[in-house]
Amino acid sequence: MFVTIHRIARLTFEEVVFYTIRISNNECEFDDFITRLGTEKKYRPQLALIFQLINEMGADGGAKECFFQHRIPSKNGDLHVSHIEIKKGNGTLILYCLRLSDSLVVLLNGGVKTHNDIEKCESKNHYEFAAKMAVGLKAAILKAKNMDVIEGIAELSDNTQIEIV
Amino acid sequence: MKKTNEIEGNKLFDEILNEIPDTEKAFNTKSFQISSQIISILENRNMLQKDFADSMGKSEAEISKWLSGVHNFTIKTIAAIETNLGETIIVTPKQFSNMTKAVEVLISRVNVSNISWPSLNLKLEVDTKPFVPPTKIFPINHASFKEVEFTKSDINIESYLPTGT
Repeated sequence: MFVTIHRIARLTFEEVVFYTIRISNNECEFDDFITRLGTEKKYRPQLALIFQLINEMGADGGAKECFFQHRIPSKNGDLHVSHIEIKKGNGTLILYCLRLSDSLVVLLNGGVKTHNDIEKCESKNHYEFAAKMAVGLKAAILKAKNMDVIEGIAELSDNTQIEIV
Repeated sequence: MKKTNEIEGNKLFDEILNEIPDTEKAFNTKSFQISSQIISILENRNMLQKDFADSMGKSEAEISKWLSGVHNFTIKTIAAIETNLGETIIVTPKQFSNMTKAVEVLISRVNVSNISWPSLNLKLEVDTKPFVPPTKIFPINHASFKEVEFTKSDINIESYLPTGT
């Protein structure tokens, strides 16, 4: 399976650029996250806060590591799955991402956090996909530029296709 | 690198973002800015979150909450952080105005002294978002940019405060 990376124009800031991915001809993952959860009134406050946090990172603070959480601790040097988690009112929403640097983040998908144990959580499938994306993206970046993924890059290549196995 | 295939972004993003009440949006922004300010100080000092937690007598988990960008800081906590770090996190407009006047006085005194500067031009760098007291003065050398940083211990700002401050 191949996915393509797309810059999100609305979320292109001076400090940070946010990307998302598209699987085949389907909707982009971040758009799917917004559409799926945004149509449910009870999750809109949590979504709004996630969006404001993304906006603030872009406008001022940068995508610092401390603004993200990790369900599973990363091994040093690996590109790992991060997430933004907001607990408010009726539930906790979780948006999985790949944070390449303070200025480059790939926003993926997510859902409702129903359990602290990822194996028992409703959003497990999105986490697993994000983990596969991490492996594929790191390989693609290293192959393309022979660059340490931890340092991050300014832009991702046009039509970058990443193989997910 | 080539530019990516750009996508506009989901229209629901702004629709949901604009549903946040103004007061709540302002609160979120201030929370984020305070977190960013603390992070900036820690980065400038190459201070790890663990060391910061130890110095504050707090757990790493609590510090992670502080720096998450969505924490509800109390004034007491901010005062404790400022005291511990010896740095200002929040400045009122009046304080900022007084500190600006103090630095202007300092500059005027330096210009008439016999101190040899690389350049007669002194540029005052002031960060106004959020209000940050000026702690750096950059002498600019026209041949090459030369930055000289003065710490608070080098300049006794208090002695230059306008009378009655």
